[in-house]
Amino acid sequence: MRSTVDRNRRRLLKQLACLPLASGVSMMTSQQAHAMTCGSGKSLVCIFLAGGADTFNFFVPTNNTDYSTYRSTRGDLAVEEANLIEVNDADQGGFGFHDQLPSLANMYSQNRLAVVANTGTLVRPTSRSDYLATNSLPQSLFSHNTQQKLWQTGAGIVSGSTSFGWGGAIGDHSAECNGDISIAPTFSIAGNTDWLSSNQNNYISLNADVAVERMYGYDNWSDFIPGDRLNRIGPTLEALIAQGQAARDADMLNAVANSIARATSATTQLHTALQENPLPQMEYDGRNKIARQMHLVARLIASRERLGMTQQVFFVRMGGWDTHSDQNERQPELFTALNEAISAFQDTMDDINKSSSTTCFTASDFGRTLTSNGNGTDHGWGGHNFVFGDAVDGGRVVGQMPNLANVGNDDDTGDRRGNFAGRIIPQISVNQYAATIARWMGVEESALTNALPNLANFAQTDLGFMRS
Amino acid sequence: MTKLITPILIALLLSACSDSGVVVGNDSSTNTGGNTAGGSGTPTNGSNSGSTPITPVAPVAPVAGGAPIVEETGTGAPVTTAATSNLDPLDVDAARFLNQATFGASVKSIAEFRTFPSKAAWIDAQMELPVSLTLPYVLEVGRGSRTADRHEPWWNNALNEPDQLRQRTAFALSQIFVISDIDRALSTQQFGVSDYYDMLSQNAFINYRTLLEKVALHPAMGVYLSMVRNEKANPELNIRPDENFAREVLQLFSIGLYELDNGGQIINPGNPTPTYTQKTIEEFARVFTGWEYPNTRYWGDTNLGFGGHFSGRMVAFEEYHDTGTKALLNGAVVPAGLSTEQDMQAALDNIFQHRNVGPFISKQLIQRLVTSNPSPDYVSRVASVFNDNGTGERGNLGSVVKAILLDDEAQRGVAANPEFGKIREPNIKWAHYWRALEAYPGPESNGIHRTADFSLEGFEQMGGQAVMKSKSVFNFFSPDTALTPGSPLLAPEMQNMTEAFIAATHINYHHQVYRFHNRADLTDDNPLVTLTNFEELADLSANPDNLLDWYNLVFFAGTMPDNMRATLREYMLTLPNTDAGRFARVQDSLFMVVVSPALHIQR
Repeated sequence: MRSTVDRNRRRLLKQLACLPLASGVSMMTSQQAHAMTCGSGKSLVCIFLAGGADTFNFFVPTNNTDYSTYRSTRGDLAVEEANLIEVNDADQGGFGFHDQLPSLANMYSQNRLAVVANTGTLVRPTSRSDYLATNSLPQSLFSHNTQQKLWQTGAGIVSGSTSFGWGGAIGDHSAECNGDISIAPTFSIAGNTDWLSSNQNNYISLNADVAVERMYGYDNWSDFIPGDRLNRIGPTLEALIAQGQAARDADMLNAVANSIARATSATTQLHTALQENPLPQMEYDGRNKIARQMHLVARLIASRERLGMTQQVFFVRMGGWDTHSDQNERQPELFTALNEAISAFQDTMDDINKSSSTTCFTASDFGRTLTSNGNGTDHGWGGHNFVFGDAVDGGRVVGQMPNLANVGNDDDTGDRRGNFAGRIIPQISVNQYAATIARWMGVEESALTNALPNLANFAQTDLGFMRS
Repeated sequence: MTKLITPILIALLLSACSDSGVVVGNDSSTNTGGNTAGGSGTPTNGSNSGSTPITPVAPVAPVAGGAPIVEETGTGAPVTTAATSNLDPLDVDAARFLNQATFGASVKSIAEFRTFPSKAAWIDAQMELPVSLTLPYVLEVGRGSRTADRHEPWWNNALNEPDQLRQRTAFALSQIFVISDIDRALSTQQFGVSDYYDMLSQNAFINYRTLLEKVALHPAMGVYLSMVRNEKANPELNIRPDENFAREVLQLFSIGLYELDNGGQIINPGNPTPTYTQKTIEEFARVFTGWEYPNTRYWGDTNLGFGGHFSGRMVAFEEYHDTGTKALLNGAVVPAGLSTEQDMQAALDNIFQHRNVGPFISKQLIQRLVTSNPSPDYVSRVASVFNDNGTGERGNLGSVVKAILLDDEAQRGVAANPEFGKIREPNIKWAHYWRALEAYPGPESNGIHRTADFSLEGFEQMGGQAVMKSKSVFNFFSPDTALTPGSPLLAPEMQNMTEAFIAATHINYHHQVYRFHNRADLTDDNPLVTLTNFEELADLSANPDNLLDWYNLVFFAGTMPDNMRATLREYMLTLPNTDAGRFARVQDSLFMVVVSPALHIQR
């Protein structure tokens, strides 16, 4: 293991030495970076568990009465005590990670993973009576796409096309850190996402299932077009793009042409860097889609200096968490895949010496109901999230584990007659979670206030789980 | 360049419409009168090798006296000010219409279309055609776990079968009433997914209420949104009915989240009124209890093969149904004691009567077929047809589709609004390319169409759209996606304009144009990949303007930008007018056309 690290370090240094232009750019930006709290290199990864993950089964309270409460509320869907990996929180006592998530438990024990308990979309601190009176609630609770949007934008309303993502706001900061380079700091490996949406920068959207190839016809690239034609086709293609970009009163054509221009530029630049960083040491089952996404992220992080970047922001997405049915069959498969991806990724970060400059965190549409619908769960609200990397002040639970009891539970949305709903009201807002992460990236307070307008409604705007 | 060019082109290129004496020169100003595509030639480029040949639509009497299908056609949109003067305006109008109503115009389909006295007559004839299905092929191949078995017949239907309007509408419906074999439980049930798609095809023009019931009770939907085996509550075990179908049938299949006006706009968008609450979802979840797979012997029967369990209608098991009273939309209440079936009927009736359904469904169908940003008036006109098609019927989808396509905004939007149109869906754009070029399966492909990736499935996943394979019930694209962050314009398909998908489809078009065509001496020798024949286009390219006219008609429906045309013309003239030079003119110009920004937009 040690020798691999050294070998990789040497390889990286060699690459830098061989690339005077790229490393020159990198030096300049890192000088600016200090002034702007950019750090000497930082990568942030959002792992979005799409569909609404039942995180109450990721991480379970194991103090005697707490576990029996959990067990009694969840019924057949409860994780057996024997299937929990025991960890401890100094204030709140014993907890267990699902034993198919050993990588999370290990990192927790190494103090480099924090559990952020009962997080969710909130406009302001919200109690059960606020909920029942519909006081300042996030719009369209319990619906997938609206709650994804609110999670990713930090907003309380689904305001159509005018909302930007807080990942995009971090990306705007990162773009300034990166200085004068043409490649965007923000990458989605999972298609369209509001999280990276910004009015200043377009994120790059890559597909982990397809190699990043140069686009034929541009830059004299094609094995199939004779050279004399090829060197005239490139400029002609570029002329067509330029015409589309310049067309007047044609927003749709402009946008499409801009997209194609970005695609040609991004694929050309990324192709070479990625070829140089295949990271074969990251091992996983090739059918594991989230691991393939994380592998591409790892390769881009390994290419950070090569690409002349100081900061990078990534979005990956794992589907399948909307476990309305067969949860006891579906969840183990999901856990196994997620664990493998995280484990392989973090080992690789350790291996290439990027653990202290890379932070990953989870997010999801919402938590799920504590109640069962027979063999699955329905859409809830609050849920747990996980932040990891060497910059995380981990080994602890941030925020209070909610009450999981199915009677007399003030953390539950319930109804006016006191019936249990099984939907837990979050105690930590996405805004607080986002602000804590964004500050680690060096985003200035004024930018935070812009990106997270509801942040001011919460007393604690930094949850303290990141080391500075 | 005279106005004779296009009619002559069409006459030259016509192949299938052989003996109906098609009149192609209706523009009286051309004064050509008797331009007919006669002859009895068979297709010259092998479109029938191995797959179902393209069958002409039911013969209809040629247009009497050359009565035009529309009286006038707008030319000269702001961006393009296009050289449509070379084209017959009626051909242009036909191409534009066919790009909205089919999987893309071709010289052949334009000519066929023009044998009809009116667009309405063409639509009527289309709706009467036999339905092309996918399940017979999937059953014949006999595997339940391979998406490609389901996609192969889909592509054949899109490319070759005559019931184009039905197939295009079904594809649109499949993006509203979404199921996806990405789901763990459906991935091994391609029979059921295929049967579901065929159900949409068969019922594309029936009443929305009838279709909604077929959707709700199809076992593939039952699996996908977990309504199958949804049970009444068991308070002792803390078990509640499953809310999955109840929520999505309201949010996605019928009324949406907020109260709409008849033009599809959210009323008071700053503070919209929700159409339902969490309590409503819980009530509907109770309604949708008690349903099992078709032909199931007992509740929870685990011995389920395809044999009748994944087609047809789910069946009711009363003992698992919640018989209590339930509060529905708009204050309606289902009384206690009704059966599983009666509750279902009452709930679907209740949804169907909500005033959102007309604008909600109409706007999405407009977005799939015609334009991303229909005016509220356009939506309202179509929604009014949904609400009452003139015979007192609410929800007639055939009438809705007809109203969408025949609306003035669909027909004249290009001239009236520079932002009219939509970004082409990846599958439709590719199907159009193959249809326009009369692509034929590779010689050893068993009649199956394949791309350079050697599988359509790979191609589709790289392009970001694969039939019944979206990531979630929210489809490949959301109907309210902004064109760019902050833009007031909508562009659902912009969600697919990512670096990854642009690069992957670009590379695929490159391979298709440069590696897989009729010229054996210049091409790959993989016998599995679908081919196109460039010889006729090569003949046209002797005069580059003729080829550009062909592109402008078939692909662009007259909207090819002038500067693009000039650029391509200049490029082609750098190549010699020789046999090899003409072939190169076609390849290079075709490649640049299909990957161009302008062709990404259907106008």
